[in-house]
Amino acid sequence: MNFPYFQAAKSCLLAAAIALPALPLHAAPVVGPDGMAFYTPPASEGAQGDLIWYRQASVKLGNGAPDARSWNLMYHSTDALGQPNVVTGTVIVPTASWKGRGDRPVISYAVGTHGLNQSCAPSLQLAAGTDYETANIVAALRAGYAVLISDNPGYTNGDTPTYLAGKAQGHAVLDIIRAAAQIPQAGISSNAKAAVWGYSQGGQTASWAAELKDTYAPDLNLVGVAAGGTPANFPAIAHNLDGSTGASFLMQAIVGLGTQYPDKIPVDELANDRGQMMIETAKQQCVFEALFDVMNESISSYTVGNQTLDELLTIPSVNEALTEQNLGQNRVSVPLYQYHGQADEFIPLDQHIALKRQYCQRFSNVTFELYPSEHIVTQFQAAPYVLSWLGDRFNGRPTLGNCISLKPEPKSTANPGGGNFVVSLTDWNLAATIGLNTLNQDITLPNKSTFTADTDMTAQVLDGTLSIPTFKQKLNIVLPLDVVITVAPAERTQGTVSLDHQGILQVQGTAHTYIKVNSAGLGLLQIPFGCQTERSVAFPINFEGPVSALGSGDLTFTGTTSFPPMKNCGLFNSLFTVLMSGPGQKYSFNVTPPAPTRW
Amino acid sequence: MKRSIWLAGGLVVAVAAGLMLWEQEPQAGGGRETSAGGGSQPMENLGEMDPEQLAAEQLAANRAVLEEIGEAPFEGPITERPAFVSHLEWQVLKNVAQQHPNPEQEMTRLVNHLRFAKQWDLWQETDPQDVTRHRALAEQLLEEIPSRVSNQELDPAYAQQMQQTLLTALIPDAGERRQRAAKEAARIGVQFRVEGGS
Repeated sequence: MNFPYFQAAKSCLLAAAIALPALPLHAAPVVGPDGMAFYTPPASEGAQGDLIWYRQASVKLGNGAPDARSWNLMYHSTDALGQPNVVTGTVIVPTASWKGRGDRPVISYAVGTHGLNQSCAPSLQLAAGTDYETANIVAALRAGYAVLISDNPGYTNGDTPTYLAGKAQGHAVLDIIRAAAQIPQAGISSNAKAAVWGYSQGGQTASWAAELKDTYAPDLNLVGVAAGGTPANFPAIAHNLDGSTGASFLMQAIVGLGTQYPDKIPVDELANDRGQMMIETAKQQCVFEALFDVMNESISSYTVGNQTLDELLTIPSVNEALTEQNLGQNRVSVPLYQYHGQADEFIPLDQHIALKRQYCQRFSNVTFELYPSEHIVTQFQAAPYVLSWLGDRFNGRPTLGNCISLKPEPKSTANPGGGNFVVSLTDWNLAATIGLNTLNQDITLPNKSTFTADTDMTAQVLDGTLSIPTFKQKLNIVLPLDVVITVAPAERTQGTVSLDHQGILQVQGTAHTYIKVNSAGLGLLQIPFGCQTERSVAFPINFEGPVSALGSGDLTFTGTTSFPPMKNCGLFNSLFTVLMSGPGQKYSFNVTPPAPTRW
Repeated sequence: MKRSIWLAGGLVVAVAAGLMLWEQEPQAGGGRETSAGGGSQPMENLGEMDPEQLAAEQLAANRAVLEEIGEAPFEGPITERPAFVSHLEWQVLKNVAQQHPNPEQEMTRLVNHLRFAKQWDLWQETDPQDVTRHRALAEQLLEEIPSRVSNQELDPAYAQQMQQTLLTALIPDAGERRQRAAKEAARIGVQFRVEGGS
């Protein structure tokens, strides 16, 4: 530890604290300052959940968001060591009046990893319109709920996030429920039914909130918790992340936990020069930049003497700090919805299943659902299922959970770590319409159409295939004729794909299919016919939007293309060419992951 | 093989025609009705025709497009069935045009497009040794390609491919062909530099 530097920093902080505006003890909430001054805590004391100050905020939630009012707030909470701290956040309340029974329900939305730099704070990213979790927040707002988004501890001026310090995060998402009710005119009742929903880091936060609720916030009317992609067993997760695609989460965890437990994880003593540089860099980055920056790096390249993860875990204080984050030591007294992606490459499935078992053994009410995809996709695919489950809790419907399951334990289908970051879209549902311009008619692909692809975010390569069953479509040519059409994949769907530092997904590629008229007739009387476009039709598949589109159902490719002339249509080749070929044919392809299953 | 495909196609549409005419009242032909050769039948009798008769009529209509060489595309409303449009095609095109906000204009476009498509199909089937027919069809197609592009029936890239194919058959000299290709491409809004041209 660099003691002179530490002492100097302490002196500076003390001087800064003296210079801060002082608020009366237990003061009534006041309007906080504009700009970044809002993030400098005033000298004040208060109980956990007391509102320090607030201000009206402007959040950019994108298209599809309901009209809403929003506020920033700063409130008292408690860190993982039981010491008071202050936390910032955002409160968003739909403008439309609540139509349900009782007070408007509240969802405390526990965010996933955002990054260690202050600019990554959810409150700042929501204001800038760059928050990657907007899709889930909007989904909750559209259901009519007030949504409270804690920044998590450590995003005030001059501070460092205590990333993955579970108790601190759990406290923060419980306390924001209390604090939000103190904002004048926000219309949030302190008695309102409340839920905590989070994924990844947020899944950890939500699970901790569930475990801590009875002792830390018994006054809250918490009716349910949804926790997905939950890191429950820290040593196991650390081993999975080390040297793998998700290495950045491990590096950030070391910085975050080192900040919360400086005596147990003396980062300055453990890090070599490269490690010190990595730490300084990590503190300047948000989640997606960090993800690619240290992808596949091993912790041993950052430690003094190149100590491996296993060696670090033999240091008792390090081991103790990490295992303190392990979940499952307490009963959860409210219904809990757990969910996980079977192909999750960052947070292992098995340790979340083990957590379910631990909770079930403590007679918690647990529902576990298994999603087919990887980490990021699952985060956003789950939203409607989570909100449906939470809606039932808000409406007072009972749930038995599924602690007793006769199904075999699911095994991970994650891509192997340590290589390129590949998001696999396996047998994704393809919902598509292809317009026939002249006939003024759409061809709708059958329900079992699928798209399977590997999107290699590292190599920036998209490579996939379409699968479209033969189907019957009545064309507006000669009624009442049934025409059996095949949209037959002609070659692989290929292109480029990338994920930028702001979490913006870009896809540029082309799908190729033949449009075939296989037969025509009436009912069972079908006469084979070999009519098809003389060349494959090229469908550009271009997309630019938030990465949440991968799971939220918003991954849609639209455009116009040109159909070549027809061939093998016998005596009527020219007629079919006139009716079906030419430019200006509109199409829309939407791809979504397969539905989850209960386990 | 090719003959069997043709017959299958004919059979399919013959069945379709039969079904269609079973359900539809015969329509009185308005204005001039152009005969489509020996297989032509009045609409009222189409439903009674067997598949071979329908195929024969269709074949005759396809061949009748030769008579259109040198003729300008149709303009204005088409009230009479041209000979190169079979009864069945006429009915299909009318059905399709009726779905359009401007049926008369759409019918004219469809008939002109059908004429072009038949001439293209016929040109591809014509023996290049039949120089007169082959050249005449090629020139006619080249003349009409810009109209088909402006009517959104061909995209410029494919239209340019067609031009290249036609010119390759039409002009043996590479330099002369490049000059003509540049001119034809310009007519569909595609510009390219001619290298080695005089």
